[in-house]
Amino acid sequence: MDRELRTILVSTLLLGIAVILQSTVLRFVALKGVKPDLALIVMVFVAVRRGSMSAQVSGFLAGLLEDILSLAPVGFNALLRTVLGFFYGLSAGSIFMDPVLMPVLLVLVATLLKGLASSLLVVLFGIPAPGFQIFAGPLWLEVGYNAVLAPFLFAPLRRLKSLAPREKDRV
Amino acid sequence: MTGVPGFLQRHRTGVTFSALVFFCLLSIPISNRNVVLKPKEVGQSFFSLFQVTANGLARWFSGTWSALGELKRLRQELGEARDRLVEYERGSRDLMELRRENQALRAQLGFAESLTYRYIPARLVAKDPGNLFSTMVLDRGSRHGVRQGMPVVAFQGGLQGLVGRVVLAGLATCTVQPITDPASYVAARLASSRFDGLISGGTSERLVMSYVKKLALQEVQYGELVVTSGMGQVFPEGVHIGRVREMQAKGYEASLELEVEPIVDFGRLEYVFILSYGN
Repeated sequence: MDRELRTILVSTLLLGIAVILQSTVLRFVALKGVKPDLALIVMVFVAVRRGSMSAQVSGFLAGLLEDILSLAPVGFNALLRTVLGFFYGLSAGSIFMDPVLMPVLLVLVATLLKGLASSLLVVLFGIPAPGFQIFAGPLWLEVGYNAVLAPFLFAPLRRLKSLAPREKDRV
Repeated sequence: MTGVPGFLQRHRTGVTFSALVFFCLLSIPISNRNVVLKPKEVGQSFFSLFQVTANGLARWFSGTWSALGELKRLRQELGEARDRLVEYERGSRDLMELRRENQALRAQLGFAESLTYRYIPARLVAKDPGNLFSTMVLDRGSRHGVRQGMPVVAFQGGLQGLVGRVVLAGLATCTVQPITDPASYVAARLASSRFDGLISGGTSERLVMSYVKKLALQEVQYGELVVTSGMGQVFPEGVHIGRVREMQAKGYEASLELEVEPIVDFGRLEYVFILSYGN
């Protein structure tokens, strides 16, 4: 099987599991109703290790699953994750990944960008959801939660052969 | 390779990105809640199986984990007398847990008997995967008689509180839009002063009651109960929604705005009742 296709399959499976966990088990560890976004953390990892193609396709599919399980309009989360996956993927091969600092930084920025982009979409499409109000509280909790979890999730993901960096991206 | 295939091959990442973004931008306005409910229902029926399974697995793992912990602890106890004591303690704990569960279920049963509509008891199995929307998934679907639009209530603190309404009914599960969702609107009435208004969801678990006549300012009390008015026949009349927490009367506005705290604590919601009303 083509290496890229295998990466897409593995990362889509991982992201799918993350979305299911977010809707079921993670609600028990929610802080003030805010859950961590495991799917985003995994997608950031896939993007910086395997590039735009794998991250955007698996991000799109996981986002679509999230849209189906949620009251969000179909395409809302899919768009957010596709765009983030694509742009984060452009940095593949140009980032030195230490075990702690870079995962925290990358995921922190990704969560902020997701919050900003989702607020913009809410306003642009008139979606009935809190828009920029999320900056008044819940988003910062999610930013912190995701950033803290990032190194712990990145560590086991590094062991997966399918998600090893591409030859041309090795630094 | 030259021409269009060559271009597509050279720029396949960018082309895929554009195609995916185009699909999303097209589907968001179309599916903004109402138009493509059918594909969502089909998708929900399928993927909710994973949610139910994950929920079951989590419960199983937690049960197994507790059992292992118990076993390890028991092994550490040597004397028979101490073993007996541990057994007794465990038995006592189990008994207390069973009593607590029994009491909770009896309470639910007692409350259920007070319901005047046909009802379907359900359990909360999943919530929205993200933090922006407030979806809730229940373990009862169309094969159990659940239909779109059915109201959902719960019993907490001795009161029957409104939870929301069914917006999607899959085969074995259904999706509920809680009253705290910003897109949720409920025709409401102040229980004592009898003024009508409209309850809508807020950004947090606080509700806003708007369109209340300014005249009400003299009569509304803090802590006054807010109930459904039954107007529009979406929700049955008299179901408790919440209590008045704050009042705002702006000089330039013709009506009052009240902040209402929901009766139902959505953070610890477990069992609910889907009412067969308006179907």
